[in-house]
Amino acid sequence: MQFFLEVLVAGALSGVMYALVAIGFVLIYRASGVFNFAQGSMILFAALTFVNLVERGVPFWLAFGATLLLLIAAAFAIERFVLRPLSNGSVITLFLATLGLSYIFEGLSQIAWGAQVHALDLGISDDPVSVAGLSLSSFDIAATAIAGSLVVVLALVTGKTNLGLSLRAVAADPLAALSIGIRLDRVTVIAWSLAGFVALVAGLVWGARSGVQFSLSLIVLKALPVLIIGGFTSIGGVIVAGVLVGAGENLAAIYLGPTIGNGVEGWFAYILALVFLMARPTGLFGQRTWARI
Amino acid sequence: MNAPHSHAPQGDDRSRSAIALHDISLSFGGLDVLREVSLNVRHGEIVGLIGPNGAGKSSLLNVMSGFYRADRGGVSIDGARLDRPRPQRVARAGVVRTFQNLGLFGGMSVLDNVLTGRALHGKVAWPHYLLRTRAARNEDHHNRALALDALASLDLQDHADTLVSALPYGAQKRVELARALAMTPRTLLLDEPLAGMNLDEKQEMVAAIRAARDIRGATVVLIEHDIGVVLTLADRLVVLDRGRVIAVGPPATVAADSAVIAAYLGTRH
Repeated sequence: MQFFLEVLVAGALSGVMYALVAIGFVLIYRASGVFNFAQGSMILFAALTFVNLVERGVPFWLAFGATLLLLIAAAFAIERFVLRPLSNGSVITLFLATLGLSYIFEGLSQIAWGAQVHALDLGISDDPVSVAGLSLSSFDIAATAIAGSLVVVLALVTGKTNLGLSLRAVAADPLAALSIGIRLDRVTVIAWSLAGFVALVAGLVWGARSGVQFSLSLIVLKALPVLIIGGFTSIGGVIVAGVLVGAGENLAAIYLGPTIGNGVEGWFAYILALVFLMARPTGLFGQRTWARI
Repeated sequence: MNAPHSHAPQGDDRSRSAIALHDISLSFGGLDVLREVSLNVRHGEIVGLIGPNGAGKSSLLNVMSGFYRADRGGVSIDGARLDRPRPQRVARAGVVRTFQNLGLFGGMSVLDNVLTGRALHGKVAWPHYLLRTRAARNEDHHNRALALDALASLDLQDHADTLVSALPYGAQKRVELARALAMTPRTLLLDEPLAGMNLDEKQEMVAAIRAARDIRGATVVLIEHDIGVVLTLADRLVVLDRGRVIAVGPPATVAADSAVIAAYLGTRH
């Protein structure tokens, strides 16, 4: 029982790391109505920029601020040169544009910072600690705390501020938002900037866990099942889904792995997502929409 | 009607133009939707836009609100010509529209929907709201008061916390008008505000539209198919047929116009 709980909680904690990636998708999906394929490359770009600045002797917070400014500048450029010209385009056009964006981010990162692997030390140790009798990783606990505070801040911004009201309005009906004078361009830039901020935090946590390297951009593939289960529109939903996927993966790897073969954790999340697609296509907390016909 | 806090325009304000169209032409792929339409709506007027289906009424409203860009012609708001009327600029100039098929924000409460109408007037940046500074609390308080007042004027005060999509259709139409009123508009463009309503709801809505003009001083342009209602509500009727204005004038005169009768009301037996 003790062992089962440890597997469960350790999985759930690492699942929060998936959710950290997925939140960036939710922010942009709500504002621009598109699955931002470039989110993974933004994570790579943010982590590479940060780690290279730190390696050149820039203090932590200065490097953090400088990287964030770059991501905000990118948000302005994306709104002006990608989203605005395509504002009448279909969803698939926008999606392909974000696919293009991902190549630009990847290319720029490698031109500027090269392709070698960097170690990133955030000063968080990865030792086993005992919590309520369970042996857990201190890094996982710290990552969960970071993700948790990020979610609280984002929940306050979207739930308690005038900006949040506009963000939700644009998400619900961009045309109606336009008619009441909401500045779509500004809301878009802010949403992409927030997604950039989330990408930076996710990049640092993931970079510290597995090294800052090209494969960071592939975390997208881990975030996808989390998004399907949690719903593309709900930040709370992807947190719960991340925990579900993380815990499920770990349990499957330990208890199913020996009987049906290793590597269960590689595909378990997708099978779970497939079940959700059939049973609850809008996810756990995703908003169902109705259309009058 | 002389309410104590009446903003109703008086005297020569009545002759000023609230919104005007100059020789507007619009076509979609060879189909002429609007042909050289000119129209001058005066301050404090209620203008009814009528005409058979496909006459171009909604297109005209879309041009006025900046959602359609006319091929030729221009739009003036309060006497100032807008070169490129875009929805957001039109809204900021005080011209607010509603939609034929509702333009509400589904997953939000009735009060939040109405509060979005205040975004346009917001002067305090969002970090203030996050930190709950005095400026943010004052603005929020002011906005809520205006939103609740708008809700009360449409008899929706008991539904402030209801999810908007849970309300019946007629009530959603009223929420949309409440949001428009919370924006303190100078001109309201209403696309079929009475559609899908029963008789009681229609009477309430008509009273609310009248009050928007009489008490809040808004100019109103509305598209409506219920001729009986339009005849009593509007000061002036504009009749469109196949993209052209075929008659303008007081309801009684227009209703007797033979061209209008032929085009719209049916042939007299």
